[in-house]
Amino acid sequence: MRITSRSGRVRVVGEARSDVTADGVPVTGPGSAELRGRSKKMEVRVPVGTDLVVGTAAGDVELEGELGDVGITTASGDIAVDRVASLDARTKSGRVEVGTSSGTVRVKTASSSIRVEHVMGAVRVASVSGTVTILDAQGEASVRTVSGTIELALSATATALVESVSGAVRVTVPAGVRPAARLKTVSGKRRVECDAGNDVEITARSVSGDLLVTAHP
Amino acid sequence: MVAFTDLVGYTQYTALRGDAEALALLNAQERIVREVLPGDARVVKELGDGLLLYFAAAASAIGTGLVLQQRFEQAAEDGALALWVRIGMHWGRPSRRGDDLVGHDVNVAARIVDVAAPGELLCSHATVAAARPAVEAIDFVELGPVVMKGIPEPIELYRAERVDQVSPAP
Repeated sequence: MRITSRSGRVRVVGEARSDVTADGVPVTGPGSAELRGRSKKMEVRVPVGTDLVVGTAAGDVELEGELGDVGITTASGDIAVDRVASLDARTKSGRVEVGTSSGTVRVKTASSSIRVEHVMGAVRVASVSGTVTILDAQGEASVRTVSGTIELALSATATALVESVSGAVRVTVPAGVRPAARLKTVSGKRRVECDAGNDVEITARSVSGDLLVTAHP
Repeated sequence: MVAFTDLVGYTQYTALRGDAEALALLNAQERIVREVLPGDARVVKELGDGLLLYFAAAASAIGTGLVLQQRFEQAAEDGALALWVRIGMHWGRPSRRGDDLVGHDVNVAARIVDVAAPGELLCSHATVAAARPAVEAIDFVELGPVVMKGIPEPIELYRAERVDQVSPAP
């Protein structure tokens, strides 16, 4: 399913059903996999697990329920995602909030904040000045920011590459996990508050941002 | 075929480290680009912290773009390039103005690089279609229709990845 809109908000609900509706009207026939809106709000209801591509200029994008492989691009709209198989989300100034992904998550913003809850696959996040918060990364995590702060919580199975120009970096591992941490900064401070080991691999680099590796309290 | 490169975070880096170190970064970027560019390509002009590049063939442009990203990542690991580069490409018919290239297709390429994340190479559908018969071992991951400021119709974008580096969808 492909949806484009200029400024209209797009809401997609993945639910137990076999058909697709747009604003309550059944969507069938040739071209039914492509919906185009302009400035009006659009609500689309699709079967659970539907793959989805959404492009808007200024419209917010809200995905509720369980969806498949999802791609979202918007210039200034906010993005909110509930549960997906995988996600590629890009916005310049809109906030991004992601619930759970069973696969890879890629997020790219310029000035807005990014919050990702649970990612079972790889997570690749890039931001210029927005704050990045990842609450539970279970696979390979790669985070890059220019001036935004980074809060990254790893599971015991994760690895991390975290890079910042001036933003502070805080990487958290589960209590008892002993990370192999390689921290490199030009003028920031480096601190590892856990015992060293080889349980998870963490590489963090910055120009002036402080780098901290710590354990969950 | 036009491509833009962009050094992400250059303004911030200059403010933190000063003009001399920032200039060294620009030189590092340009040196790598000139080492990698094939004979049918050229640096059209410098744009502050980025470059406008011209390629005669789409397949060559994409292959070169991926090699460039490898070299930039290696330079970052070695400490020679403290920032990340993103690349956007569009296949079209740019107009010549002396040595410069101008026109709609150049504007589209400039919008595409804005969508790219650090370390990525993004291409338009037109680029992929022009390159596809001649490219090997490159995967194009669809990002979908992207609505861009000043461009009337959404542009279909793809992330180019070497097959041995392909990550799970999307």
